Amino acid sequence: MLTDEALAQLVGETRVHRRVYNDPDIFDLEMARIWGTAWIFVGHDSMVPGPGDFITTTIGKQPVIMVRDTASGEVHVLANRCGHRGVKLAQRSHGTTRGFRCPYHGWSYRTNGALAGVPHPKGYDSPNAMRAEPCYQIKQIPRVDSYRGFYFASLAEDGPPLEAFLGDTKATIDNLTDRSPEGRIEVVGKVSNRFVQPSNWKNFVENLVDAMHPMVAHGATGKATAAYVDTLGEDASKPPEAEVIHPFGGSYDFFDTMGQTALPLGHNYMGGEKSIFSHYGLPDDYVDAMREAYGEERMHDILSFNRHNTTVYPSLAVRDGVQSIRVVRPVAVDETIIETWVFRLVGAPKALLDRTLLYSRLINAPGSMVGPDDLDCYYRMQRGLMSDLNDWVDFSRFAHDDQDAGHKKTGVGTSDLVFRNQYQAWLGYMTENANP
Amino acid sequence: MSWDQGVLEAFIRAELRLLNAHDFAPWIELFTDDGVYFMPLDEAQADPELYDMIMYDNKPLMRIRLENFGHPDSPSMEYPIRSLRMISDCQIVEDTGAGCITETPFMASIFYQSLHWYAGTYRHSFVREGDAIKIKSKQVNLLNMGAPMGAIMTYL
Repeated sequence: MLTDEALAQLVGETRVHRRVYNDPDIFDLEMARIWGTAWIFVGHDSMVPGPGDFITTTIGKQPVIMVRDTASGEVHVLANRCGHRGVKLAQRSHGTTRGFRCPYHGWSYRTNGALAGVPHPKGYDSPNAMRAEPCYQIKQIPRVDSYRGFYFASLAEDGPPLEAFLGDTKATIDNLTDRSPEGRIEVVGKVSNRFVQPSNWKNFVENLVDAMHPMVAHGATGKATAAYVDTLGEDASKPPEAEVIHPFGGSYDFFDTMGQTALPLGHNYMGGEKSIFSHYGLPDDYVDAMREAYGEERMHDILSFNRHNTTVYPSLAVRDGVQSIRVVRPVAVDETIIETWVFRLVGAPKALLDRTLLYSRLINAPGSMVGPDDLDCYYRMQRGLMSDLNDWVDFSRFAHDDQDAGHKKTGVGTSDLVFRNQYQAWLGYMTENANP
Repeated sequence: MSWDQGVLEAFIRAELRLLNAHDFAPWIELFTDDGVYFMPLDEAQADPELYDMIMYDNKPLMRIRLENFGHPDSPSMEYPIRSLRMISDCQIVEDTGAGCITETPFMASIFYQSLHWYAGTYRHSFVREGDAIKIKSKQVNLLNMGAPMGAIMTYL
């Protein structure tokens, strides 16, 4: 029985019990109490640009459709389930439709979820009245809202409004969008990379801001890159591939000085004034376009904003500096799908998209060199934690050095502060009547 | 000068023998200096200049990957990789004289911790450099492109 007391015993000040990663009952409870209540990222406005455009995804375990209404143009997030027998209505990852028709018995729905028709209706007492019966409609997800084109949904009827939930992470979404001279971004392609991770979803959420792992887990890629650069000779300019990969073999000091920031509700980010992206060069024509759009001072503010992996706990990580997001889709206690979506800065030169694509291919793609090393570490952690000879996972690094700044805490880049913060939020969500 | 299907099929078989043997240095030299290897996420997203890819290497990345293969500091490279690729029915689908494109169905079995099967079509773009045939691009269209997938640890 997972009482509040039992759950509280799993999270210490500087450690968590291995069961949070490998107990199926805890996973189910997470789906109800975290993924069933928090605002979960569903999709970006540009993924459904036209009337009837839709994508399918999940909120926790629940299949949903994000669709743009053919009549109103409004974006809806609907349960992907027929109001009749529960059959999943949309099976493809994306498409365009005038409505949804169940493949089993032919019930049809408008893009706002309203029942449009039932075949051979005379067997029902009041076929016309069915169109007004809530139980026969596709259910709308209780709360749907967007911030600058980023659509989130919550399965809970009540809770904080989206902007209050996002808090300071809004600044990262702002920065990603404002890096476009027109203040607009568009997703690149209808199909994203989806990496199957043979481990718990929290492995990934932790890894995003784990500054102690790059020089170890990705040390080989850093060294391989350095070895290649050495073959080019001293006078040769470094290829852009080296610029992207090299920080992954960076020093502890480099990551320490980036800093960590822990925010309410388990959100966090690395960097701020400095990140692994802050040494990237910018094309002159892009800087000119930004200056013209925003003016010198505002342009400087936008381009010197250097956060790395802002995590909107539990479902989204934003990399504003390289215009990409990673989205967490839990499948089972030991399986997670990670989506990587890349964005085009509307009005920016092609060189910006080139770097975004380069980064994703080098770091995030299934065929990249960096991603598989992370994946293997997650896999080993999931398997290693089957051992019951040591029940605890340690997060004690810089345990007494957190800087409390009111609504946030900060620490050096290699501090475990962000993990401790994530698990305090986790415990808040998981224990009833508690505020995460 | 038009291209000979039999010569190109023999070239591809020789290319795959290098991959099966994990003999990557001479395999990289089969590519032009601006040659690329890529694996699209979708048929409508096949242009590597415009879209993200499941896998993409240009020549610098091939050389970095060559250094990374089997690196003792890489956790994912701690496991042995054994692989076998088979092709059939290589067809020339475009022949401009200066260059040509072939499409070749393939199946690949990769042993990496467990056995993984891949299938699809290779789309090679060939050019001549002097007397030598070079690969300008090798596009690997997987049957399951766009589906969730685990790590792809080597070239297919």
